[in-house]
Amino acid sequence: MYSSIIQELLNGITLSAVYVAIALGLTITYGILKILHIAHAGVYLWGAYIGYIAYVYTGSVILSLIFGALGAALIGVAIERVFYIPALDSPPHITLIISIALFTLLSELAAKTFGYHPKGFTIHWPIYSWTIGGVVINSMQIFFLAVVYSASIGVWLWATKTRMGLASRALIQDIETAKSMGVNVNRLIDINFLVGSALAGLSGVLVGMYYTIIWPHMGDVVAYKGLVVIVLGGFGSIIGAIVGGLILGISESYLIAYFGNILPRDAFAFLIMIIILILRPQGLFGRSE
Amino acid sequence: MPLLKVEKVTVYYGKIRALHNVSLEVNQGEVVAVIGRNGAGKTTLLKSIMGLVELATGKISFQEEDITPKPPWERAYKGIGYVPEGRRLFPYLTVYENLLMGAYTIKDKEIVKKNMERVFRLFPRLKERQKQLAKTLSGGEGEMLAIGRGLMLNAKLLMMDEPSFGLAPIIIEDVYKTIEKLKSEGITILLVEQNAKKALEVADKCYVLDQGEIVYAADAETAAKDPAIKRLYLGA
Repeated sequence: MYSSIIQELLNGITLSAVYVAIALGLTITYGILKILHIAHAGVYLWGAYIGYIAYVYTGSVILSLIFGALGAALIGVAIERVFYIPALDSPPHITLIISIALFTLLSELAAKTFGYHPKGFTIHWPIYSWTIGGVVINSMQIFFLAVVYSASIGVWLWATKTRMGLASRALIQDIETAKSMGVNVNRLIDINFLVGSALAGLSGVLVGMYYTIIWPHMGDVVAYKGLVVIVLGGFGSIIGAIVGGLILGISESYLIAYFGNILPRDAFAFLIMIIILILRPQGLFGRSE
Repeated sequence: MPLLKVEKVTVYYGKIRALHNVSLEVNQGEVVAVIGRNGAGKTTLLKSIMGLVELATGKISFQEEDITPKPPWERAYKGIGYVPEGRRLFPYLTVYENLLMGAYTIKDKEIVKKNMERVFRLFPRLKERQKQLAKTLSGGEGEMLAIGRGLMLNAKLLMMDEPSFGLAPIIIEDVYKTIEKLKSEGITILLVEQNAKKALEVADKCYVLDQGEIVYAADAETAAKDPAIKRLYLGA
């Protein structure tokens, strides 16, 4: 019993890794442009495919991660520059529709280019497995958790501790005043999309490697759960994205383990969101204004 | 030669003309006041100098360099400090972080530290409250922070938009004492005010803006004695 609680916690933290990474990217891009960037999940998906192709050609896990992150970063910035910036003065529902359309486009484009069928993504690294007190953990899981969480912590530190992060927070609060203080806002918006999208791409590649499979609709679940997490955390809150991601992943994992026969697994995410929003309508770390 | 030169600037907001053919000069070490009623175009004038609004026609030069095509952030790097209307603090940054943002153009940490100490000497209250969020400050403290933030970039020209706005009379006195002090330190100031009386007390030179046009220009002493100015702007 005790070991199963720990096992589910570990599974939950693993599940959370992607939620945290995606929500962080969504938070910094939402914060900076106030656009609900659904297409972020498309960026994640393409990161996975680019990483996969890089792996097929080079056989290197590291290069696969680098290419996945870089490719995603470029796609993210392209979306921002070509679609979001020109639509910035439009009402929010217009940009939301643009973003949903882009996400659909990116998924279908992946399907057309790489085929509708899933692709096996098995890396050559040997996998070691350990059982400690009844809890099972393997080397791939450790690698996956280490990379996703250190990248997420890196982005968090960047956003909260650096000069550029400070300028980003200032920009989010008052774009005109930030400009007059010397902040090159166009460049800073680019950099935020670059960082957020690279994190999404990196997660996409790692999810592919960890679950040994990628498919054109792997972004779907991420698209709506990413939204659940930032709603949970309180829109635009960095710490909210991290804690929201962990809460969602861990509680999902327990609910599936103990009540999995009652509801379909993805329904739990919304159940958790609804309960938290009833208790705290502004989200866990939102500002009630 | 003037530090700042505004030549025949016209600005439109859609079809509405906010500024028409406005020209003015600010010399090194001067305090120049632009007075005028609400909606006369005072804020638009400062925004056009900062690069925050687009000019229909005209030219703006700073230190004899044409800065008209430059974006606002590059103008900040030239040393134009801006204390915007309504203070425009970053509400969810701390006092300390707001000041750091003011020094965004300065890469040298030592200089930033020195400027920070100078602002804290000028406004000891800000030092006490440096860890608080800016939104928790009172109106007077907020104005001090806005001025301090404008000074952080080693401003060669400090532009202030209605520093007396929304403040109690006693706080307005404080703010103007600070402006006097900055003036005595040799900082060049372009001050925009509805409170013409206070502005003329501290200014060397004065322009009157009315419906987007400069309708009067004189040194401040002359302006303060002018019967028309007295009647229209000083409430005498």
